[in-house]
Amino acid sequence: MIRKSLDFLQRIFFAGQGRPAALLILGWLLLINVLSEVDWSANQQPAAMQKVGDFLGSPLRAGRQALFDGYQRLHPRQRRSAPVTIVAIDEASLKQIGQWPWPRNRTAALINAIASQQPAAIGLDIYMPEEDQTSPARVADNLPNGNTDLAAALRRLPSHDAQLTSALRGAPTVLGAAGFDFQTLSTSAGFRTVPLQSSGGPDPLLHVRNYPWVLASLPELQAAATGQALLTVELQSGVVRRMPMVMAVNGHLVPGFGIEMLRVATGSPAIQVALNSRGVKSVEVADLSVPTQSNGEIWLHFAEARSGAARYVSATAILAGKVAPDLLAGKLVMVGLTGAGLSDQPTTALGERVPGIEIQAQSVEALFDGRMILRPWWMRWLETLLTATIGALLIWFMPRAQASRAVPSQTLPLASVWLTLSLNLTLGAAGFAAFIYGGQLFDPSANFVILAVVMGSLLLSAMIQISRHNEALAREQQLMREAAAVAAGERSAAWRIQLGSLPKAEQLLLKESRVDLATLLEPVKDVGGDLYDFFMIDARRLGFVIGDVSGKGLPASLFMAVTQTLTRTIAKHVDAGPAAVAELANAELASMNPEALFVTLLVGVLDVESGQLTLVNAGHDGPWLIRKNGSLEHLESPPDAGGPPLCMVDDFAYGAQQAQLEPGDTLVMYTDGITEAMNAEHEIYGGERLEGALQDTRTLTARDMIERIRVDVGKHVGGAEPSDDMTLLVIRWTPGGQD
Amino acid sequence: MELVEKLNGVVKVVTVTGRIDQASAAAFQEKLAPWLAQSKAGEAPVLLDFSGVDYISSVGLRVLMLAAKQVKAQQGKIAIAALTPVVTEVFQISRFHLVFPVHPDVATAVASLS
Repeated sequence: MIRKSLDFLQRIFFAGQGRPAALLILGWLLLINVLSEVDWSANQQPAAMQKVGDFLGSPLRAGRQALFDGYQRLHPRQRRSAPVTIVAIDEASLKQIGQWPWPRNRTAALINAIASQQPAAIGLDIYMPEEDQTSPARVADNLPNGNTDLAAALRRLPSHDAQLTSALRGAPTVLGAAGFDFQTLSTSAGFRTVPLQSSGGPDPLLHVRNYPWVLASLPELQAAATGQALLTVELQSGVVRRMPMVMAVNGHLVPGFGIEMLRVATGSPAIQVALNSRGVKSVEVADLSVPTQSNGEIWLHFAEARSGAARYVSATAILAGKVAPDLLAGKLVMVGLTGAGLSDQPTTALGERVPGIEIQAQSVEALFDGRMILRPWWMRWLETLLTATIGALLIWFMPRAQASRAVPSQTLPLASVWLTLSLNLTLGAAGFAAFIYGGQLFDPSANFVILAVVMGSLLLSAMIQISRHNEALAREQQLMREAAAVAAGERSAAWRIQLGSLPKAEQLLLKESRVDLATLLEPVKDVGGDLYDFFMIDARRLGFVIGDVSGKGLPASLFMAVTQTLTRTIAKHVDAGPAAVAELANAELASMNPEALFVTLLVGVLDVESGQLTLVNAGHDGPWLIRKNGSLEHLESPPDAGGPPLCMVDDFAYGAQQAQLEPGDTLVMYTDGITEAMNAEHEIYGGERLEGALQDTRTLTARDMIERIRVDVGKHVGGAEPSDDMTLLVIRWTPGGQD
Repeated sequence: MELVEKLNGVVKVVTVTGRIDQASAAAFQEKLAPWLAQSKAGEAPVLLDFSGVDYISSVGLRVLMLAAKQVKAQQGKIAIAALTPVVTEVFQISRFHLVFPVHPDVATAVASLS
């Protein structure tokens, strides 16, 4: 089952040099990447698509976020302006005034103290939806019975909320509220904000974040404050990256905290929301126009928290009047909790955990610094186009580069890999530059990941191709080896057949005591081109043949076999003697000789009764005749006898030569494999050495003589490779029997 | 295995140098082929100067035999001259003068062929 699936996968990646598979992967990943970023017009996307994008695209999105955070960490915002001062209700303040929530007269005192320094605006990151239970009237309600005078006196005092109301009214103040997706006891369906005017496009409510409920402060407080705004920011796994300039509560557009602070500080009556066909284009207040994403958010370019530490002032210092005037005068003052455990502590893109008020402050400061980071709507399409183009080029080019190599399918096309890597690095640098100089967010990370996967697919296909090629090579080699083995087997079989067809003296002439005959045939290249043969023609005539085919290997050995059969047949059935045998054999062989081979031959007849020897020499080395008395005679072919090798000259008239053997005389016939056996120094054994060996061994039996000559030649050749077949045929006439 | 041509009068004298045995016979046949192709009726006769050939085996003889047959069929003229002693002996045993015209030296051969 697994085997089958693996095979199937292999086939997919192997098809079309890996292009279809890679194209599929490219298309699929591009789709997921595009879907993973649908949160811009979140309200418009069908939930199903969003879920797909979320689930499948989350690694790509995570990569993108990590990259954008990386840009900031490498290049955090340098603070150029300092429009914001943060009044921190910190641990020291809580220690001095008491636990939170403070009685609102304390808050009122704080606001008055700040207001006395003429700030541009005071924003409160404090929600006060319920009545202050520490007001004198509420304390009076809580007194045990019997304290009517005290109670009455208390009730005559102004409530804390009333004090706060007048404090709020007496300064340019902005109250914060929180958007809720669900209803609680304290939430309401709306709150007082300045109207926001939208223009230039269809309903902005289709694009901005809408909260059905809001947690706002008491109505009288709302009425007293100069402005109100939502403090809510969306966290992505606890990290803040973007800040909405404008949102909606229950279908009404409301401003973000920073924008509202700016409006109140500049005394502008309204905030404009400019729209285009894709949604929110920009949010404008006074002279400031803030270009936003289509849902009204801007990306925050964070500065390091510690670089803004100087703008934190403890509430205790304010209340004690121990603050330098320039810290508050003309500033946008934000009041919020910074004590741990009491305030939210989101993480910035730089990885720092800061109080929520810090984030609000940084968003205003970024606007003042002109660091408005945007990811234009066309950016992701540009990225998709880039990735699709580079991916398509890669898919087209890499298999080509693979195939065009001199030895295709041996090595992987790594040049393409390096090229793509450097391209990615360039894009990465371009993205970083776009961030620093243009304030634009370009994401090459998805490009990198997608191209890496596509390259991986193509490399996988290349590897499969290589492995298949090697498998095919191995199979071919295996087949060749088998064929060679079969051929070798056939050669051995041919040699065995040949050997089988050579007569064995021990068997054939076992009972024949009138001759002592021995043979040797040592072929080179396991099929021989030499031949010998001997047979009794009749009761008194011994026929014999020795020969050498021009050439070696199978063709020569086949020719040799034919020659042997032919000669024997003719000799046995034609009574006219060896000359006629030679002529007939010449004619017959010529008619079946497509390779134009020729064969040297010694064919003869020995009358074992009379010792009469008749011999025809067709182009072969003449035999040695060793007389009983020890003299050696090399029987040359006289001019009127013998002839060229068979099949060299058509219709040659061969002649026979005669000799008379005495009892004990020995005839030694050989092929040139003996006389021309070479050692490593290219010295041949030679006729003289053979003559010497015959001298030394002439008294031995035919078998022993052959054995000694064989050893002697072997000693001469030594370790060198034999170059020709070696054949010996020794016939001794022993009419009186052998001793 | 070297074959070098020199013109001697009307005869193309091709000097052959080296052994002609099992290993080099194929190369000899290949190198000889162009002269065999040129050896036709009315064309210049070809003389093989074998003074540089110190050995020839049956495979080499076969090449010469086929060469003679080809030239004869094309009605050209070819001969061999200046055999070394070893080669002379091989030619004698095989009666090779019956197959290929053999001359003792180049001068005689050129005279005979012209």
